[in-house]
Order: sequence, then structure tokens, then C-alpha cells
Amino acid sequence: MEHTDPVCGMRVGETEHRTLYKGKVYYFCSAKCKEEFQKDPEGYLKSGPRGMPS
Amino acid sequence: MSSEKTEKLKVVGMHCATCVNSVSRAISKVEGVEGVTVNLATGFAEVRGSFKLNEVVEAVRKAGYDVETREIKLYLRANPENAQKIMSEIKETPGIVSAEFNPSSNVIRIRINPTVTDQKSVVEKLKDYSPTVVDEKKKETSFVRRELDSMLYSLISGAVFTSFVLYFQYHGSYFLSFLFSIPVIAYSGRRYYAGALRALKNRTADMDTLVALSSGTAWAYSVYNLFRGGQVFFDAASLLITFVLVGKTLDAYLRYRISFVHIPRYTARLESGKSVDSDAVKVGDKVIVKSGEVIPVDGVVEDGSAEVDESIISGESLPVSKRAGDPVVSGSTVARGYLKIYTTRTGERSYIGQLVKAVNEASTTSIGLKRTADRAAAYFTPTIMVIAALTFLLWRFFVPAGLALLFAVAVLAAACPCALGLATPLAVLAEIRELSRKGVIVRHGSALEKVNEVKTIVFDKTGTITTGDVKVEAVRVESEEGLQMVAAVESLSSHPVARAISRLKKDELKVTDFNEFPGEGVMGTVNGHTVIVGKREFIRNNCENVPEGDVIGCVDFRPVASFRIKDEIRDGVKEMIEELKKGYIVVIATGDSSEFADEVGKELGVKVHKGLTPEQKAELVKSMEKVMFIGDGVNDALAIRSAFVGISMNSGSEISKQAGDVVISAPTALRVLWEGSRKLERRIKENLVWAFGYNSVFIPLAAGALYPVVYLAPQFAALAMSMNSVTVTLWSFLRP
Repeated sequence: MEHTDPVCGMRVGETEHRTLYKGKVYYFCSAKCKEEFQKDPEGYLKSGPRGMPS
Repeated sequence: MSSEKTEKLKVVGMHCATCVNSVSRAISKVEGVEGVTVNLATGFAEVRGSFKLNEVVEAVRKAGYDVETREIKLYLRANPENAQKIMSEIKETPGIVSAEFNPSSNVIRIRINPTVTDQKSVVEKLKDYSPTVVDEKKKETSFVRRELDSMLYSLISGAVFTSFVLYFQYHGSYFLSFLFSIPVIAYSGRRYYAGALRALKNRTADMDTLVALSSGTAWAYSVYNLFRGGQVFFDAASLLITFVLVGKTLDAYLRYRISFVHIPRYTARLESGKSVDSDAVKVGDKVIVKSGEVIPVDGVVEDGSAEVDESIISGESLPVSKRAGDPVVSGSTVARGYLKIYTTRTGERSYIGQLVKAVNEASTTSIGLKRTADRAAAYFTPTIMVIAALTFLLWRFFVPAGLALLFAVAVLAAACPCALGLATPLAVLAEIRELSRKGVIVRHGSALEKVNEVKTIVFDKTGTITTGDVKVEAVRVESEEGLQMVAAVESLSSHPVARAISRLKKDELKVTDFNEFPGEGVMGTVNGHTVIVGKREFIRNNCENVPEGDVIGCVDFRPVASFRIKDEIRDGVKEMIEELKKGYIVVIATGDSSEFADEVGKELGVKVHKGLTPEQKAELVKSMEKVMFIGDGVNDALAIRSAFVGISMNSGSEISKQAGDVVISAPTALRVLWEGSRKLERRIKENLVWAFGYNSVFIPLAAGALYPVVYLAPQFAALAMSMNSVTVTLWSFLRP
């Protein structure tokens, strides 16, 4: 199944970079995106993807 | 420095645009890289500049991705002193990631970039050394064995014909002596003439050149004198070849015996009472082992109990007690007791089989000291040829031409460049063997040298500093039913904490929709309820009213149980860390974020970086100078690869799958490693001093420096030379 990386907005599969937030699973394209997400999950979920973290 | 080039690599593991960024960034930081284009769709990276390919591959790997490479093994016809030239030639070739030449077995292992080159091109590149591909069917031992046989035939026929040469020469039948010398030169000595020709083609000179020149000169001069009238030296020419063969054959035999460790063959007693070879045991067979016997297979104890000496894994001879359900490995010994073992692995796949393979494949090249010796070896032979020429010219003023020539020939025969070429690899090989007997498996010889430069030591906690036998203590249980659901979900994870929690399981509950979040926790559905278990921070993002505890389990987003984690610090670790702190910066890096992690830090008096993901551990390692990282070979692979020296803890299972340069059984084995590294340095120095010392004594003697008090005839010079190689080999392995 395809998912949207909530940080960069890319379409990703069920990668190993994943986390659970409020009972919902989020998949990321990389460890970097996951790290970014964990810094501010609410922000990303509200405002949507902000593009690739540098 | 390599010249400007463009090379295409296949990068594995890129699945998104960020990966492209990380890979590009990693590659562009490599020295000499001027441009890099990474294509996500094809997975190819194009690198431009004057870089070293192995550094690019290393950088990609350290960034957490991999590069597709292939390994080729070739058996070469080369002398130890050619190592440097072969390596520099092969490293200049596009598409070569790394190359390791083992002058002791004459096998070169080359890692290639298959998008740029292939086996055929590499074989073509090395054609001057008559390469033969080594593979499963044609093992390296068979090549060395065949070479040894051929040397033995040469030696025997050489000895027989030489005795005729001597007989006729001393009875004045010079012509017959000439006839019998032909097979000695042409058959027994052919490898040296062929080798000299090969060296000439490569515009170099080596031991073969010296042997060919010395015996050839003596022989040709004698043939000339035979027809012109004058002194002949068919005896010296023939004896020279024979004596060189004596030492070289002995040396080849010793190296054959020492270079290849074979998987030991044990006798296994099956349940039926039949005794068979350990190779013939099949998975699932039950094997009986009694007091004093070696366990022939890997397996699990099915019945009985015993004290087992597992020093083969741990280096520790104190027996470990084994009961039903405990794993046992081949090569360990039952000290007392009786075991019935259910076989899980045998032969090459068994622990001892893997150990032997790892030791045989350990690389012995690219050691700093050696490079100097190699360079010296490359200049050595030409220098000897000049000395020989000068010897002849000088003596020509004082003695007849024949004797002057014998002095020159003796110089050529006495010089021993191989001992220089062999000094380091043999010492490394010997040290790797010795360490393997003490439970330290060295996979890259260069790590032994790097150990001495380490500045910082980073330990993983769980399973490294601690026994890894994690115990959990339930601090709060809201409902037993909830606890059972939590235990059921944890039973699907292999994490040590999860395994400990799953032991609380009493009911068999069916788990669906299982999902694991590495370094955080797990989730699953049991009877329609959502169950989440994990670290506090993880649970805080998903459940309400999170209680105290290191690990918390929730059912339907409400905490039902919380746990504290406890683990024991291994014996001897505290003392060893005290010692290490005197000379190094010591820190602990752990994924565990529990209070226990802090307790361990406090107990040992070292700084703890806790709650780290595998990537963060690797980042930490990269941020410090010359780090030795010691951790679990599978979970900490990234950090181990990022370290200056990566050490993995031996789990007693798959050695080859572990990431470390060195595999150890317990942190306390680091002492053995350091000791080994210091000993290696001494051994190399001794070997080099010996090799140089021999040459500086025997070459002047051969040149007639003490003539007529001491006269070294060419044939005895040759004997001294060939026995010198034997001495270096023996000294490397027999040195206490």
C-alpha cells in the first residue's frame, strides 16, 4: 500500500521508517523525515508537508 | 593519486528523494570528487573526479546505503615482493573497488564495480601473472597443493640429476656433467626462468630474476668454457637450483600447512549408537556427547546436563552449565556430564566451520609498516644486480675471471627479497590465527594496526556492557487481561525487552495487524482491541494518562501495564572500563531510554547517550575522533561500519553476517585484542629486522668481503637464501 510521507509529501511504500502517532501509522521516505516529524508532529499534520528537510 | 575519471555505481537501498540527497552529499564529501549525479529511478550514481573508488563506496555505505559490488578471487603466479606492483597496477584500473593480495597463498581478492568492469577484464589486466579463477569448484587450497606437488617433482629430479652432475664434474668428465645439468636447468629450474621472463616483461625484477641470473650466468659461462677450454661450474649452477628448491619447497609446504586452517573433523555418536563423521550428521539428528568429548555439531540440548567449556566462543575456559533447551556450538568441549543434542547446523555452516572460513578469509594486506617494506622490496632486486655487477668488476682486478664471476653469482644467489615481502603478511596471519584461538576473530588485518590509534571508545549497552539477558519488572498492572494482550503482541518481536515481556504470557491469544516501529515499540490487534507497547515517549504520543515506567503497554489507547527494565552488567566490565578510562574517552551509546541506562552510566562512571536510534548512534560515532565502537553485530551494524575500528559482539551464530572488523565474545576480550596488536607490531619489526639483517650479513659474505678467510660458494649462498624464507615463516608461527 502507498502512503504519503507527512514531511516531504512523497508517495512511499511501507518502509522501515515508520512511527505511530495517536494510533495512526505514518511512513516516511527516510530516517531524516521521521526525525523531523517527531520534532513537531502536530505542526506537520495540521499544515501538511513542507518539503524535503535539508 | 588517481587521474580524472567518471565512474557509474549501482546504489542499493535508495527509495526516495531524500536518499538521493544523502547519497549525493556523502559522495561529494569524498576527497577528489568533483561532481556527482544520482538518479533515483535507475539507482545509478555517476561520480566524476580523481577519487578513490573504495572511498566513494565506503561513504555510501556509511550513509546507510549500499553499492553493488562483486568479488573475484584469482590465484596468481607471483612472488611476495611483487605484491606492491600488483596492487598498484590493479588499483589504477577503473571499476576496482578494493583488492587484497595474500602473498602467503598467492590469492588476490578483488572487489569490482560490475557496471564498469567484469571478471574477464580483470583476468586480462593481470594476465602477466597467469591468473586462474578460484571458486567453489577450484578452491585455493587445490592451487597451492598443485604448486607444492610441482615443486616437489622439480626438487626430486633436480637432486637426482645434480648428483650425476657432481659425480662427472669431479671425475673430470665435463661434457657428461654438462649433459646432466641440462634437465636441472631446463626442468627443475624452469619456474625461475619463466618467472624472470615474466618479470622482465613487466619491467621489474624479483627473486626469480636473481635465481635465473645467478644459475644462468654460471651455467652459460661454463658452457662457453667447455668449448673454449677453462674452468666449468656445472656443479655450482645445478646445486644452486637444487638448493633453492630445497628451501622453497619446504617453505611452500609450511605455508600450505599454516595458511589454510581446515574445519576439524569430529566423530559424532548418534542416538542409535553409530559413530559417524561430523560432516555426515544431518539437521535433526540426535547426537550424544559425554565428558571430555568435543561437541561435533551446532544444536540445542534435548536431554541431559553438562558443564561445557565454550572457550572457542568466549576465550573463557570456565565451563558454562547447559541444560535442555540451551544452545551449544561445535568445537566446545563437555567438561563434565552428558548431553543429547538436537542438531541444527553441521559442517561449513556450523559455528566452527564459519570460524575457520572467517580466519581463512581474513585479509592480511594494507598494513602501514608493510608498505615501507614493500617499497624496499621493489628497489631491492635492482640494487642487488648492481652490487653483483660491481663485485665482478672489482674482483676482476685481483682474481681470475672465473672466480670473480662466482663472487657475482653468489651475490645474486644470496640475496633474499622474499623474506622482505613475507615479513608482514606472515606476522599478521600468525597473529590472526593466535587471536582466533582466544575467542577474538579478526576479519581485517588492518584493524589490528588501527587499534593502537584509537582515541575514543563507544560501547553499546544492551548485550555488550550488560549480559543482554533483560529482565522486566511489572510495576503497575491495571488488568491481567490487558497484560496478557500486551505479552501476546510482544511475543512477535525479537527485541530483548519484548522477549522478556512476552515471558509473562499465559494465554495463547491471536495477534493480527502486527506492526513494529524500530527503536520505539510495537502495535497489534487482539480480539478487536488495539494493543500498543513501547517506550514512554512513544506511548505518550499514542495513549492518555501515561504512568511512570520504562516500557508501557496500552489497550485501546489506555495504559494497562507499565514495566521497569533491569539487566546485569557483565563480569569484569567495570574493572576494564576503569582501566580504559585512563587512556581513552569512554562513552556508552544506547537505544534504551530507561532509567536503568543512567544507572549503568553512574555505576561505571561514564557518560551515557541514551534513547538513540541506530542512525543517531552512527552520527555520534562520526562526530568523535578515531572511534572504536563495540556493539551488537546486527542491530548496531551502521555504527560499527561508521567507526574507525568496528567491533561486534559474537552471538555464537552467523559470523559472516556481523558487521565488525573484529568479532569478540565479551568486552573483556578487548584486552586480548590490544595485546595482540602490540605483539603484531613487534613481530613485524622482528621479521623485518631479520630480513634486512640476513641480507646485510650474507650479501657482503657472498661478495667475498672476507675472502679468502670465509668463502661462500654460490650454491651455499642459494641454500642460505632459501632457508632464510623458511626461517621467517617458522619464526612467524612458532614465536612464543
